[in-house]
Amino acid sequence: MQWERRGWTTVGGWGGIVAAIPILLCCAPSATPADRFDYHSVRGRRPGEPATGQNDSPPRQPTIPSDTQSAAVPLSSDEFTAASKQFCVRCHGGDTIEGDLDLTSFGESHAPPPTAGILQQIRDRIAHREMPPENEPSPGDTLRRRLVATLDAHLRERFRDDAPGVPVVMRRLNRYEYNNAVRDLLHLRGDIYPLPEKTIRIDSPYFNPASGRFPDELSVRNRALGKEHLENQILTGVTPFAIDLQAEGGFNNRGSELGMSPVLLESLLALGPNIVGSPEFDSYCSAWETLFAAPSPAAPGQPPAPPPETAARERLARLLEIAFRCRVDDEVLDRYHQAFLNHFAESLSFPQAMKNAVAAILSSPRFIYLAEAAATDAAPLLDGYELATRLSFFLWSSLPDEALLAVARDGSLLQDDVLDKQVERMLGDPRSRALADNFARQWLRLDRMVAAAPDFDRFPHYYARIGCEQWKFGVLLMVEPLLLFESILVEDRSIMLLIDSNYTYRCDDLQEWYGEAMPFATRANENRFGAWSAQHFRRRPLDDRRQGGVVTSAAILTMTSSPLRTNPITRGAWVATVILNRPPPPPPDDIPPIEKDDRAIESLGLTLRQRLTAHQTNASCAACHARIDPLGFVLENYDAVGRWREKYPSGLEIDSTGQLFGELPFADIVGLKDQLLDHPEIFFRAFSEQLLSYAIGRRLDVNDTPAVNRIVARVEADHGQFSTVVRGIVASPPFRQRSQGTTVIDLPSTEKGSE
Amino acid sequence: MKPFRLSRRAILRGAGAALPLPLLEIMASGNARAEATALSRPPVRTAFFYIPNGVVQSAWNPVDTGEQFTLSPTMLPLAEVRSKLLVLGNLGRVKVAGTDGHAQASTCWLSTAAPDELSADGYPLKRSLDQVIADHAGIQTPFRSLELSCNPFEDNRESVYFDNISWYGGSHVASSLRDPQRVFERLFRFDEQASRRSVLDLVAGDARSLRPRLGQRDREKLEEYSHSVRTVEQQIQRVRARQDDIRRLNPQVPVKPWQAMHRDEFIQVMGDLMILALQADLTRVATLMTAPERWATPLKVEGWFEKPIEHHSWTHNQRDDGIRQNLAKLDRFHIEQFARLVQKMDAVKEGEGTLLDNTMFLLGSGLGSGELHEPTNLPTILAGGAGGRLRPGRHVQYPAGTPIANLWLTMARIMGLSRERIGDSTGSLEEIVG
Repeated sequence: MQWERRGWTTVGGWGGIVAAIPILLCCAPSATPADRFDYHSVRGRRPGEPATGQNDSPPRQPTIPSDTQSAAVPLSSDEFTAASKQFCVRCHGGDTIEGDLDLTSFGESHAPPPTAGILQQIRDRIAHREMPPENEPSPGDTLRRRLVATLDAHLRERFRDDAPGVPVVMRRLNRYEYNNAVRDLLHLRGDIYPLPEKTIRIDSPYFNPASGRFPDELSVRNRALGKEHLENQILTGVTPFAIDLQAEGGFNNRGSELGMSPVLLESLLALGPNIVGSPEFDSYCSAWETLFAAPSPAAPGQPPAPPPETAARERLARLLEIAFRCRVDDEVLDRYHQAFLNHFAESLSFPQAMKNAVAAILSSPRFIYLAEAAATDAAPLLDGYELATRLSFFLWSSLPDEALLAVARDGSLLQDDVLDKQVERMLGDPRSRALADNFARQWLRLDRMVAAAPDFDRFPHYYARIGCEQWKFGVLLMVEPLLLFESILVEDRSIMLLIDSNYTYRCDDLQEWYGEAMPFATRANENRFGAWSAQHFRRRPLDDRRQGGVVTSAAILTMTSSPLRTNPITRGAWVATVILNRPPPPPPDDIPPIEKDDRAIESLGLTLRQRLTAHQTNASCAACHARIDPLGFVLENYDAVGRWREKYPSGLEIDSTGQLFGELPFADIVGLKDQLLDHPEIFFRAFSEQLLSYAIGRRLDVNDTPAVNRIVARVEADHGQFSTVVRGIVASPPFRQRSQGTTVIDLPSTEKGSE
Repeated sequence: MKPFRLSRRAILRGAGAALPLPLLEIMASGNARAEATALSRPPVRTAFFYIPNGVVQSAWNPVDTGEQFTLSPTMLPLAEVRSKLLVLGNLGRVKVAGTDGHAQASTCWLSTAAPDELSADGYPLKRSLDQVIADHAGIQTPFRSLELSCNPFEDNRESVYFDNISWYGGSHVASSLRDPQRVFERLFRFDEQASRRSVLDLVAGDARSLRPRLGQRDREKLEEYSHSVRTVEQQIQRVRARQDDIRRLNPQVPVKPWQAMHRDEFIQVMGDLMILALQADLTRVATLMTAPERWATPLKVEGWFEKPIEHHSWTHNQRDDGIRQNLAKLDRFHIEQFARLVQKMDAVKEGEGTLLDNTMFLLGSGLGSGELHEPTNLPTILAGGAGGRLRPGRHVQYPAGTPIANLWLTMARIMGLSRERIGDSTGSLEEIVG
């Protein structure tokens, strides 16, 4: 039963999400720019209307695996076994079982079949020419295609729409979600505590998705950064609990990693009373009259007002339904009503007694966990409340509002048309900015920017003043990719603009950063750029395709560099993880040393690329690096703080050529962008997978492939329109299904997986 | 730069300083008097001091063994307390394929799981040693255990597995505090805690009513919540019983934010709080993680390195002489922080001896060397006398492949547990027991 061995999935394989990248082997030669779809033409349209593009060519057929079989004839069983013996078993069998994967009886009828997850990985590695490795006999293009076609056919048989996949483990709110949920539940005028997670601080409101138009000019502030720059509390005495870390290759909203400890419970127990008890609270609550104020006596001629005890019960019933996102039964209501009554009898203060009950709500497990009932045969799908909750935490990182609860309550949300209308309404609500704040920031791993430390002497222009490392230009760099994302969201553009956009948002300092050989050189040494004050960002057209999109933004390029040089492997791994959703396996234990300073390398007459290539001392290193490194070498034209350079400082030439998936050649970064534009399914799939994983709070596995295929098909048909990705996810089985049965299902160990 | 002070009289920083009140004096008041009499022999405490990414082996290993052993270059800061140390060589773990070497290093260092007992996420992880000890030694103290971290990083780079050494179970982390002010409030601001009793009853009711609807995995998740409710409930009761003692300590809140502290100051202030909690018998089990595993973010170590250091990257480049020397210097920095805390413990008088004499204070790392991610020959120094149960002042070299679980078993037994085995242990380390 070598198939079941756990080690292979991460030691030899990819771990995490198994991406079903389409077979590039079977694609037509690169499309020419003339017939490439103009992704900039995609602009917010209503569902059902045709695309507004000037390009009349029919949408590209999605090249999901099920559509590619016509390109190659699957092998017969005997042929497959023979090919496997010839090309696989040499290493994966007999005495040497490479990567803990034994393929000795692969394809033979008597042998236990491998899991779908392993089949998928074998298929991907063959399709992407990673296996067999370069120094082994190669099957040749035709046989390779037929091998892939055979494995695809096997995989299709394995996929079942009702396969449970990885269960969604009950999620605890992270502190970002907790802030939003409390804010919206109690109708507060703003956040309850400052969060470093909120990269962009709104100076004056600019985010209005209902308008379908992202402003040309806007004014924002940055998050605080660094020592001696701690943020003031918003509500006195209210501080956030500890940040939850992102899962490897994922987000910080996975129930399996969101723990509850006594320390955290203490924080939550303190938060409730501290929020409602803070001196600012009463005026901060815009629903004070209807939530906390004592019921006023009836006006003359009106029916008498209910007694305070009754009024409190009615208010608590409404509040608990929103807070707990379920129909509240008497048992629960009695409990909170009793808490009110106890306090009211003692304090005689209606507002204080309400605050006491509300404080308790804010630490209840029914508030802080997104609980879903176990699936039964009769009820395999989420009910209205549960679906509303998934939806609101996906799009808003917050609770459902009254309008959403109304359709949850009567169950109509389960109808496709009602659901679709809600998605549209919610994307048009300013709360959808959480997708940028919370999803995009994590997707781009943008938090790493906080810690980027370009050498203080080598890159003095990165720091606000000599002798002070606290103010870094990085805080302004972080804003650029996030504003691009927000503009795509608001204007419902194509996500392909994240690869290649013809506009960007920059403040003047940022424009100077990209444009000047030595930015800020003429300014006084003190406070030379405005990282601490509100900055005016403007939409700026780009005619230089070396800029635009997220990959070539200075933020990404800086945070993937070392203090004294670029770090092509880190950059390549970032592109593979974020843009392709194919995270490379962890580096091996035995990593040969490399100089930390590019000057030291260039003094040997070597470029960094030559040095790194020489460093791949054996074939197993080379096989992996062949996939990662070109995606980093292509960015060598950008220095360690993201600024364009034609040559290395020593005058050595930069070699930025490479191949994507060992197959799609490019000469430089524009060439790589072209390949991604010409094979849009690559990025559409990677992005859809990551947004789906975020939406449901779990990692994906091979059982999700059919659902992802359908999402990608819709996204391709709409040329990557943002709302289509969201709609596709919301309609998909992984989003709609309950994921846990009432009994324990013991999954095979490889399916339990490791991140 | 002024360190925070525990009280005007209690200056914990610096060697030779003493807390004002030895344990028995603190406890000889009110309700605690009866217990204090029973404690004529002070309790044994256990504390763990974790350093990430292994050490430079060539500078770490002493050249000779026995009582007359010579301190290695990295261990030189420990010269003054040499007679109270056990340096233990060649203890290790089995590396398990399938999860990252660094994540496994921190997560499984104290794990009581055998190498084939894997959690749902693939780690050989069960309740960690500190929590196993706390199950027994934590039932009388206000806090069953104390988990502290001096993780200095403000970016969000690694997962939960790189950042924790204490676990209630295979996926249930005993999360740590890294803000000294929060630690202080938790230990000494009991008035607020007491007011939470009624809320605990309320939310416990919500948890009970939620449970029947859930699937199996969610029930396990909910149990984390219920476990925390029970722990906090007990804590509130026990803190109340000790509040007069705690008031008499009259410690002062650390005023400087941790973000503004120098690296050594951060570790020392956190260590001071840990020592105070142990000394005042607020807990008998503590872990202090100086920094998380890997986390390739440049870090300033003021006074030691001019530029931000890259600890993880250095470990993979230590074949370069200059880098190796820097890395060994960083190891020495960590040892010096440990040595200062050991000396502080030794300055606290307790009964006939000192707090250190009644404590097992263990320094270790989950990797021998970061270069190859090998969890063998783990750096291991056990300071203290465990109330006479240990025979310190020696360097003991074990046969290669001796499980560090043997040490865990030894420590657990000293703490009063009657365990036959822990993880893959093959026996206890009788040579070090007195």
